[in-house]
Amino acid sequence: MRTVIHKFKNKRGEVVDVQLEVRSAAEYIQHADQPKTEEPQKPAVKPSFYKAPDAHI
Amino acid sequence: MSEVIGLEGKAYVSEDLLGDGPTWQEIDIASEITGEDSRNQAAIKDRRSQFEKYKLGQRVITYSVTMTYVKGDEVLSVLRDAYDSNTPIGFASMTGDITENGEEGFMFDALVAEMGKPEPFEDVWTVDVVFVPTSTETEPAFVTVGAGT
Repeated sequence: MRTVIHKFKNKRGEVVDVQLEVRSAAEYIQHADQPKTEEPQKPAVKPSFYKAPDAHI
Repeated sequence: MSEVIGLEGKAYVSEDLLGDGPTWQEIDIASEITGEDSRNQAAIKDRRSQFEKYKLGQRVITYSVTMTYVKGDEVLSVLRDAYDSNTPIGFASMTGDITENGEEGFMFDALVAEMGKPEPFEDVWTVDVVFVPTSTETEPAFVTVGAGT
């Protein structure tokens, strides 16, 4: 991305500077296509007091 | 972050191109602004699949703007001159005032490809202007006003 200075002229003929952050269409697409980074999933940890119930037959 | 309605959006034109330090003027006679943005599609047809599939090509962009016909309007005169002489100009469509931080939009060096002028018998005259990107040193670009400040 880059920043440029353009100008704006109003109906009264007054001219002011306008700062713009420019993202080219190609950069925009690239940005939009970037896969979202997902946080690595932590392995499920069973509580130490966990005991599997006895199997009922 | 907020929604935008058409009335808040603004279109701008500049006699200078984007790479030449444009001076934007609002097209305040604009009403409907319609931006078309699509990719060319190449169909893949073969017996490997039951479904037609596609590869995508270049993006095709056009902006159609309906304006009130106002005699002697400065912006309309700029557009008329550009159309008559086939000269590129700058065009921008923004979510709001181009001098307000945070407003965003799309701008490109454009040719005025169409300039139809319906003249209804009992209604206000309008001008239907179609802008298409043209080949200059500056690519069409998404912009944000004042970002990073």
